[in-house]
Amino acid sequence: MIVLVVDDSRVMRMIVARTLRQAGFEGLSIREASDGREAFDAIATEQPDLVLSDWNMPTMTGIDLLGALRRSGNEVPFGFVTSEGSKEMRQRAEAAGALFLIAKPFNEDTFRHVLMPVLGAAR
Amino acid sequence: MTLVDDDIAEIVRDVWSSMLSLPVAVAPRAVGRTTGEVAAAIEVSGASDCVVSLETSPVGARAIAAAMFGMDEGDVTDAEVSDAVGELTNVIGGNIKSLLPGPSRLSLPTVTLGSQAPQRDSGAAALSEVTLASDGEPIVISVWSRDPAELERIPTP
Repeated sequence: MIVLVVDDSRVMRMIVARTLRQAGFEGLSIREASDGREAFDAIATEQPDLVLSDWNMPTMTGIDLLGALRRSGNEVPFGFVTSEGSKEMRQRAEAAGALFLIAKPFNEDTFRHVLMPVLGAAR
Repeated sequence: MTLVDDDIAEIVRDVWSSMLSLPVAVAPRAVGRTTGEVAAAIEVSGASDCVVSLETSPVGARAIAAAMFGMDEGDVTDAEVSDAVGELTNVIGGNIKSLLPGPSRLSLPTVTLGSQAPQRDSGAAALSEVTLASDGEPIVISVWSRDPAELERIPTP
C-alpha cells in the first residue's frame, strides 16, 4: 500500500513515517510531498491508498488540497495530521470529506487506533 | 501560575514526551533569562489575535532537532534545527490556539537562529509566559496578545 505524507516540515514527515512503523504498519510504501500543490500532482501520478496531510502549509493548505481533489472527482482516502484539533477544525475536516483528524502531538497508539480501519491490511 | 500557564505547561510536557522523549519541567523564571538566541514564533489571527513564541538556547535547540530527527546532536545542521524548532512551535501554537476564543487562523512558524532579540511584537501585551527546563536547557513559551481585551476573554473553568 502506498501512503503519501504531506507536510512542509521535513522532520514531521519523518516522524509520521516513523510512527507508522512503530504502530506496526510495516508493509507500506511511503511517499512525501511538502505542500498541497506538490501533493495534488503526486496523487495523480502515484495513486496512493491513503493521504496523511498537514493542514497549515504554504502554497496550498491541506483543506484546499482536499477540496481540489474532491472537485476533480478524486476520492482517495484522506486524513489530516495537524497541530489543531479543535472541534471546529474536526467539523471542517469531516465536512470536506476527510476520514479523520489526528492532532499533533500523537503517538503510535493513536496511529494504530485511527489507521487500522484504513491500513489494517498493511500490518 | 495562572490556570493558563498550567495549561501551557501541560501542552509542553505532552509535546516533549510524545515528540522528543526528553524530560521537561517547569523552572524558575530566572532560568529563562539567558534565552533568546534561538527564537520561533507563530501568529494566531481572527477572534484571537496573539503571537506564541518559543525561546531556547542553541544547545537546547540542537537537542530538540537531534531528538526529532533521531540524529546525534553534533550532526544536525542549522536547517534541521530551524525545521525542528519551527515545527515544535507550530504544534505548541496549534494547541494553545485551541484554548483561545475562535475562529482564528494559525500562521506558518518563523524561526530566528543566533538572534539575541526574541520575536516579540513591541505593541503586544503578555498573556502568559512559562519557563521550563529540559536537560538543563531553558525553554520559554510566551503568548503575546495584540488585543488588550484578549486577557479578559481567556476562558476559565
